[in-house]
Amino acid sequence: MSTPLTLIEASNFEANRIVLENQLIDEALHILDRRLFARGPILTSPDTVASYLKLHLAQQEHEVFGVIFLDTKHRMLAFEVLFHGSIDGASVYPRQVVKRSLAHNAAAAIFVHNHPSGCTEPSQADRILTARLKEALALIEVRVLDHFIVGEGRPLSLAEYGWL
Amino acid sequence: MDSFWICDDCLFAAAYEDYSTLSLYYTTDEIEKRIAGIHRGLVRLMPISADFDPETGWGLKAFSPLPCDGCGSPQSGQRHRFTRL
Repeated sequence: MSTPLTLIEASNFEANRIVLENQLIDEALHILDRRLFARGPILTSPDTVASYLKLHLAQQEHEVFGVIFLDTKHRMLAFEVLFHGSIDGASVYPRQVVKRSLAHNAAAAIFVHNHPSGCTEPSQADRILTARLKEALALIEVRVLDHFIVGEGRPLSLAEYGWL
Repeated sequence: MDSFWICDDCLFAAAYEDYSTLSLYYTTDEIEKRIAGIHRGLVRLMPISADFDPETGWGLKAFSPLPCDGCGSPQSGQRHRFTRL
């Protein structure tokens, strides 16, 4: 018994179509993974974070305050400068930090600001601000891992000094 | 239409009546004076509407050495554009 020619052609056409569709689905899944689950580097070592932040902020002539937003595995979601200040201070509003943390769906955060003078010693205002931000973010279950001050030399980590 | 560039303190005061950061840098007396200055400045400019987009950066100056058009503070820093309606 021989298979009619038209049936073979139809069957081949159908098989090709399925192969093409599967390729498309695979590609779409890959794009979806890339878009939804693409993350930055894992920031577990304070030295890595310090170097990363120094590179970003050391050249600023005025004070800026930024946040690294992280997921539960401490992989970087984003780094944003949220406030720009003058030569010796920047007004930092906790509501804006909370707002951006929610926008990034962050589970943890690392703060950073620079001291254009080069001195990395934290001021009383820096320490009060850190405590306030930590309190505000705790309400939305975002953990504050550290607060770095960038200046001359290695950035100062408030966590390493037990000031967090 | 007139546009004005206002500082973070004026922005958060106008949008949320949020003065929480002032206590970090000012004494109690100074805070009262600062809040009064912000109020005076904003009332003088009214009616104004936000004219910036934080997503695109449109209507924002990351750093301005000029005084705030609202409170007149000489402190340089970020400015947000507001336009008189």
